[in-house]
This record gives sequence, structure tokens and C-alpha cells, in this order.
Amino acid sequence: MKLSNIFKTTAFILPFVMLTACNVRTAEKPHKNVMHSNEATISESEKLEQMQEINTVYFDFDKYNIKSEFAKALDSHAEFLISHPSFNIVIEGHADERGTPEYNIALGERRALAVKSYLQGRGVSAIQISIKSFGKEKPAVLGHDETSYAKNRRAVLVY
Amino acid sequence: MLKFSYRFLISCFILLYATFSIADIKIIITDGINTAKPIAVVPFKWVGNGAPPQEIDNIIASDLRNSGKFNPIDSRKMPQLPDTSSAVTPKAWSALGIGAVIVGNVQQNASGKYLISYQLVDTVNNPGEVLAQNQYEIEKRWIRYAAHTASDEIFETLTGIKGAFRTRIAYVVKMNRGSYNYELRVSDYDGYNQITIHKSKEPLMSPAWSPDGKKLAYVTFDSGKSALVFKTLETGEIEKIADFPQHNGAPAFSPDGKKLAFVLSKDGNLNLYVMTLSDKTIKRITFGRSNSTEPSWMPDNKTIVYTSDQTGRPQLYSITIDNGVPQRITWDGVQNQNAQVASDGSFIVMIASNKGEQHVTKMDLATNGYQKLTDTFLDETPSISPNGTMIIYSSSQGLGTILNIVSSDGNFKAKLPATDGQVRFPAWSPYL
Repeated sequence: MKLSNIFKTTAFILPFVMLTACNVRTAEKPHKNVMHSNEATISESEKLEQMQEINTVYFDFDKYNIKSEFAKALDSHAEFLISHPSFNIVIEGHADERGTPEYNIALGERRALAVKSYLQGRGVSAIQISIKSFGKEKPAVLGHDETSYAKNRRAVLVY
Repeated sequence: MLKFSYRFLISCFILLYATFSIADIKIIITDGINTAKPIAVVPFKWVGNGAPPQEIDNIIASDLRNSGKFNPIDSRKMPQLPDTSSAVTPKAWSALGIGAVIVGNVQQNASGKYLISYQLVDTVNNPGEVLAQNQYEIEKRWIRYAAHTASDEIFETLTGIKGAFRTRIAYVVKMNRGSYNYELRVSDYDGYNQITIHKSKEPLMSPAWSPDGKKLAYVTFDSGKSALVFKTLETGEIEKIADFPQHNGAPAFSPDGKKLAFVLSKDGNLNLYVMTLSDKTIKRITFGRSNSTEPSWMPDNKTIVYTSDQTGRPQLYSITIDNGVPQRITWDGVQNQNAQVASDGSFIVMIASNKGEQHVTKMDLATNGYQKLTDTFLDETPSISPNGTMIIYSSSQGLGTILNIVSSDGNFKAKLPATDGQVRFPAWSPYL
């Protein structure tokens, strides 16, 4: 009876998905995160581990678009979330150290929102996704060079 | 006589909450001694048994040196070591280019209290005239405070500017080790008497003082997401002020203490809001799909200077809280952000980014002239002393961050390295 099963088979038909995603947002009640309940099967937890291995998306300087190299990973997340509507994610957005802390919150939010929009575009219910930004407060690596900055401009999908 | 009630309450708070093992921050001056006026703080005479409790003259000399306006000479270069004004030989000092001499003494009385006396003596204009003097009878734990009080009086007498040596600073330390990674601390302006106000495993951001100096507003991520809280320093009481979805940040009290400007992103992007503190009602100030953040109040309690990216890169704007229209303030440079308005509204300081460098930059609001004040790396979060003479900010050094002080004329520079972590988000208290 779950609409999400229909999504799974049609996820690649974008216009259709976008149309029904709106229906889902109004039709489905908020899900509780049941990660720790018995409902999660072995294969689910294995799948979840796989998801957590591909949970980071990197961005160019001052950019918020999802680069094509991360599309495949995000598509996997979308597929997982659609087929597991009881799972929720928090997308954490981060910025590099340039700029000021409070303004960089905006940069992290834009990155988290870009990932959220992408997942919604692939049919994931908005109810399953929340975002937050740490700005420049939680760098992945320390360093004042472009290599370090590139690793810090990121969004992380946390289940 | 001094009123110590506030400090007494703070010290009660220290006893309840302090971590005594934390390392103090100390000021190291890096530039500006050449432009400062030579002055002499003669070693205070100690009348009592054993060693003196504190070197009062050192505290006063450090304050005057940290102001950037005075260069106290080494006691070994002094022509005489008088302990009263009548013993000062003005010509001996004026011959060395020293226009003012501070003398004094410290006594311990029968009740165990200390009596500190000082005199400020003119050696040039009216040689021998006592320009200021005072004495304080205090318990031992108030000795630094009494010395800072003398410094305030001496500084104001000599410059006409109210001294800010009894002020404090709040700042966030990211610890190098330990399970609680983030600490919000408060210390005297010179790094002494450091206490921890809040410990968290998650980031702490943007402390801001209430104008009466009794509360700090700041951002916690204690619950996993951001929230805005007030902490009352005397009691340790914590109050949640804003906990909306997404960001709750950038708090700034209006100068009259009646309102709090802050930022929420519950509608998808950062916007300014103002809370009336008497009834906690919230009014939205900025609208639209761009980001507005980092509010700072003008002295009129109505106008807010803030950062907006409505034209792309962040620039400074101003808006009045009564349904005003944003007015762009900064037009120069790639980006300008994180404005702090001086308490008299004569200038703002901001973080200006040009050619890959970001520096504390002053903008004179009468002339709209810019002045880059610093040469440190990746400057952020400037905060102005209540008398407008000094700016404290953080910058990167190596892989860490430290606090720095620069005078608002850019001549005097000092750094305040910490030993146990990275220090950010300095906020200079009001007069206490």
C-alpha cells in the first residue's frame, strides 16, 4: 500500500516523481526513526552501512550545485530512503574556513539544501529529510590550503 | 570606596562553577610601543610583613601599556624611586621625556585588609602637581580589581577617555583534548581570572553581552542542532531563547538592553529578527531569499547594521526595525561582513576580504573612509571595547586560532595566545 514502492520502480521518471512527491508530503504521516527497532532486517542494516560509506558530497568554492560525480551516490540514498520510508536523515552542511562564522552558516545551509532538493527531485519525501548547518565550526581537516578547503566544503548525510 | 557587590557575586559564581586547572591567556604586545607616550609607574612601596600580595605597579603599568597610548619605562631606568608625590623631582623625569609619574604604596592593616594608595604626578605642565589620587581598602582577592580601578582613573585623567580596564571578555575555546570539546569562558580583559561558563561536546558560537554585563547570549548545539540561550552569570541560570528549525544565531542586544536582534533560517535562508525582551515577542526584520545575518545595533536602538548577500557576495547594509528598507553601506572590496558598531556610533569595524586576505577593517561613518587595521591571517569576529579604543578579534596562527587586540587607530597590536586550545568568538563586555 505504500506509495514509496511505486516510487522505487519509477524513480528515474523525474517529472512523474516530482508530481507524486507533492502528494506524498501531504498524504504520509511523519515517520518515527525506527533504526533501532526489530523492523530493521539484516539486509537493511547492511544496506545502511553501505549508505554510510558514501555519505559525503563535496562542493566547489562558492558553489552549491551537486557535481555529477556525486549523483550516483545520492541516487542510491534516494532509492534507499524511498524503499525505507521509516528512515530519516539529517543533512549537515559545512563551509571552509574563509569568511565569518555566522555568515558561513548560510553557505553550509545552501549545500545541505542542495542535497535535500536533489533527493526530493528523486522522489524522497521531505518528511524524511531535515537539514542543519555547522558553517565552518566542524572542519573535516585542518589546513589553510585548497586541498583542505575542498574537503571541508561538504554536506554529510547522517542516518 | 569601591562597590564590589557585582564582583562578589561573580566570585560566588566562580566558586560554584570554575575549573581551576584551565590555563590563563596572557597579552603579548607585537607592535605599537614606538607611538606610545613614555610614562613611569614607580614600584609601589610595600608596608607589611613578607612579600607584597601583588605587584600593583605592574598591573597599572600593564594596563597603561595595553591601552596602546602609553609606554611605561623599566624601573631600572628610573632616576629615582619615590613613593609619595612630595618625593618626586619633576625635572629628573621631564629630562627623560616623561610627563607623568605614578607613585603609591600598599599597606596591610590590623584587620588583614590591604590599603592601596596612588598619586599621579605631573612633571611637565605644572611640575609636582597631583593630577589624580585615590586609596582603596580591600580584601586580598580584590587587589587586581583595585589596581585596574586606579588604571581607569589615571587613564581618564591623562586622555579624557573613560578607562576600560575593569571590563571582561567572553570567548569560546575549542579544547585540544578532553571529552567536552568546547568551552565558553569569561576572563578579565587582560586574561586573568578566567572562568568557564558553559561546556559542550558540540560547537558554541557568538557570545554577546547584555548591556548591564549580567547576561551572555550565545549559540549552543547541545541538542545536536543550534539554539539560542541566555546565561545569567551571577546564578548560572540558563534560559532558551530561540530553538526553531535550522539556524538560531548571531545574537546582539540593543544598547538599551530592551531588545535582542538575532537570526533564524526556519524559512530556508538566514533572516534578521528582533525580540522584545520584556514580553518575548518576535518581529521579523528582513525578508526575501538572500541571507541576512551578523546584526549590530547603532546607538539609536532602532537601526541595525548587518551582512546581506542580496547582491551576491556579502556586503554591509543597515535597516531600521520599524519596517525599514535595507540601505547598502559598503561598496568597496570583494566582500565586507560581520560589522560591529562602536558604542558612540562614530565608526564600525568589519571583516573585509580582498585578494584572498581577510582583515579587520575600520569604516569611519562620517567620512565613509576605510582603514585596514591588521596584518594577521584569516581575521574574524571583531568586538570593540566599550570606550572605542581597542578591538579584540580572532585570527588563525598555524593550525590554531588565537585572540588578538588592535587599537582602533591601528597603531597598537597584541596577541593573546592560549595554551590549551583554539580561541575564537571574543566579545568585549560593557563597562561593569
